[in-house]
Amino acid sequence: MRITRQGPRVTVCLDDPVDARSISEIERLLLPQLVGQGSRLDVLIDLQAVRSFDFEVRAALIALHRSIAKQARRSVYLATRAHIRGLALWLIHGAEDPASSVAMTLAQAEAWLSQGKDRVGWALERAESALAAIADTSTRTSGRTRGRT
Amino acid sequence: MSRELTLAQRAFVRVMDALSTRVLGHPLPFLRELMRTHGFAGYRTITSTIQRVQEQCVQRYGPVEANVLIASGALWNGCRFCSRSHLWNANLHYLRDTGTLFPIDDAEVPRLQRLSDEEVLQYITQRLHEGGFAALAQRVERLFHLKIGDATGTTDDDPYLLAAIAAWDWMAECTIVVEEDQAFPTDPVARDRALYARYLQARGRAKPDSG
Repeated sequence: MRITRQGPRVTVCLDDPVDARSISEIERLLLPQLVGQGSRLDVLIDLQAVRSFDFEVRAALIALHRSIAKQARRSVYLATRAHIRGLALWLIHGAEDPASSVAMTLAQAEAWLSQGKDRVGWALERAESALAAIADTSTRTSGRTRGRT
Repeated sequence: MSRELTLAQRAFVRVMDALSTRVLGHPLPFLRELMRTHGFAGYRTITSTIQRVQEQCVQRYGPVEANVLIASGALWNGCRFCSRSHLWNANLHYLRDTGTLFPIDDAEVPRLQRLSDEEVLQYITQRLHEGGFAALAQRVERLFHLKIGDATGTTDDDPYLLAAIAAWDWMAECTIVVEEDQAFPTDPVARDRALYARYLQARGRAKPDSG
């Protein structure tokens, strides 16, 4: 595991697999860095190298995420395997942390940290916006059809 | 999420479980979580939005392609329920309409979710191309690039694909709690028990318990 700090962001790169040892290492090395800062930091948990996780540690991961959520401004989990993103979503949902999300790319992770929206509200906003675009397209299409007849 | 349901929410969930069992053959395994997370108001909003997106996609692409697109959008979230159940819906519609099997088995979803994103995309698009679904393969690829945010230009499909991505990003918030073996097809097409049995037999799978 590696922890690096760049400006207001702390990046935690986890190795494979995620197990009880990984969690205690994060608790020992990351949490002290988040405490006592002048302003709250952002946390990027990089799971790109992770291919598997110990199913038994899921409850401990939620507890860990709650500790991160209390101290950090925003956080994001970055993973390139869907089942690892599923684990990340499961734990941030379980920890009831609206300021955390899951990303497929570094650019998405950085975009999440730089915006101020909550995860669920942002999904709803995007869905409504796409539905409005569909309605707009349908209106324009039917308008053109009427114009031809 | 550990919040307890209120008495009214518990009663509502029991009614919906019965209704869902009648229509789909199973209670929805994420309904309690949805109610705990969003309450009545959120439940109404989410079900209405999901329904509108699904209707729009089915209207544009038909039930097979719409369900494949929704399944592929949900797959990237690591949700064990939505991706498999929508791919299962697509498979049932396809078998009913053509008498043949769709190129991708719903039971492959858990394995695919353990691969890297590039490997999954390559596998799905290759299977679709080989099965004669070149246009659908292109849409699945487009959806992937919209999902990761590196799509260039715009297409007429984009609003539909973006709606599917966003609605199931939202849905995954609650369906993520569902375990792998709790997935089932969520389309009323699954009420055709003869079709359902024929599908499982064609895939070489024993019929699961309906409870």
